[in-house]
Amino acid sequence: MNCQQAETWIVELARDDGAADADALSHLDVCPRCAAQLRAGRAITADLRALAAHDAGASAPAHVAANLLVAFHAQMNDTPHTSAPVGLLEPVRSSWSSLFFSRRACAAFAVAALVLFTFAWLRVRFNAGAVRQTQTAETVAPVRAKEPTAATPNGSEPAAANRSGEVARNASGAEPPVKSPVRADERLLARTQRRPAAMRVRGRERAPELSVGSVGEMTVLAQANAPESVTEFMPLVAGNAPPLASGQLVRVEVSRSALAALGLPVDVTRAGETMKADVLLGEDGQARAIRLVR
Amino acid sequence: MMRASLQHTDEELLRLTLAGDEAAFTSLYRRRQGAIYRFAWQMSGAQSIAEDVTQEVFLALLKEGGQYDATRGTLAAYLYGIARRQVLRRLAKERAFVALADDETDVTAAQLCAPHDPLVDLARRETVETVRQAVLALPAHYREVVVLCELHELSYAETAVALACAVGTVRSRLARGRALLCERLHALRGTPAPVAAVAAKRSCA
Repeated sequence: MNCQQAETWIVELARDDGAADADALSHLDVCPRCAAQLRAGRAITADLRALAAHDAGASAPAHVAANLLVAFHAQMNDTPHTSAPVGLLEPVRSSWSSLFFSRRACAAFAVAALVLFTFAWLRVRFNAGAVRQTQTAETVAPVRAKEPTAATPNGSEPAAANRSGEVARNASGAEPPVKSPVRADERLLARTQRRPAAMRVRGRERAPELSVGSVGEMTVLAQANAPESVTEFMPLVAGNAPPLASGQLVRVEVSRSALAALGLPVDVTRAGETMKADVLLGEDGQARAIRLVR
Repeated sequence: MMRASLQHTDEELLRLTLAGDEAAFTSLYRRRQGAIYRFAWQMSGAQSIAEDVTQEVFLALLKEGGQYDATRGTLAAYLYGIARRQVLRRLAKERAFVALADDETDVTAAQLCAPHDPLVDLARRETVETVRQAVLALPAHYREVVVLCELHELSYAETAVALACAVGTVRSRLARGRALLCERLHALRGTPAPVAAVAAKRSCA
């Protein structure tokens, strides 16, 4: 054994820690350097043991114990007592988990309550201004596909194209709705059939922004003589609906908020207002399409 | 409330404590507080730090004792590990090793008693204080190994658990720490360090 190998044993020998290796002991007998190192190590051990013996009686003062007892009682008051083995008790995390979920539940409840309250408030407010239902009906005649349709230069429908002499007009929206067959505007129908109704607005005639709110009743008003601009027809049924053979074009007045269901942008500040619209009814009375009228 | 007996192991006392047994907590505290206090004192050199660390260790035990895993080591090693972290945190916060003050009020009864031989006792006290200063002058990672292995007589395995390191690391740090301590003591005493001790320090460095 050489000095480097013996060094690993010197600390153990100096600490009297365990049995010494016989080869190390033999080396120490013949190597003065390692022997001196062992003596120095043993002196260090003696000094350290003296320090340990001097400090053996030191302990924490009484107030530490008192503080800990207070903390113990506080801890036990907040934690359910169980006799589960060490390591199986739920950590503080569980109380945080339950607090987290309860907070989520409260937050969800608060959001739901807010939504319901807002909906109810809007419904009460806008039902007062909800449209009355009077009805002016126009019958849509079958259209020949080849018949050309001349679009107006500015894309707007002439006022007269929406009406015929057979349209029953109601001067007042308070009168009960009257439905009478009216010849449909061929150009309008051709346009509808040629171009699938899309959720878009022609040119400058953008659909007005509507506010979100409840759907009110529709009222068909008497058509005014003033020139009007209309949007494209927007489908109200799925694309697989049977082709429209005949039907009725009904002028109605709807609340702006009701049109939010069509996906139109809405203006909250004008939710209480109404606007005109033309609804295309099928033979079965189902509303097939709608366009906005300004 | 179940009364804890002296025959309960540390782990049993901890389990009873976490179940709300005050007597078990008191027994556990009385059994382990001295060692924790002395460790913190010998690491920091300040009894105020030792008091705070002792309190923090047992508070942590109350709060996180459920996480103790008996298969990883003894409860004593677990407590030493908590105390070590608390001490190092305090030392880093205070940024200096706190030297012993002459006006320490922790005079024990043994110190107040008239010694059988005052000169011997004086020599012993001087030696003790010199060694204490030398230990406190060691770098923290050597000091903690020397304190645990030499002053608290923990085994290499228990020390490794407390320090969260390998047994080999404990051995090498202890060897280096002792060499540094030897050199420091001779410097404090004004005596030349043994050549062998210097060589050991150099070989270990």
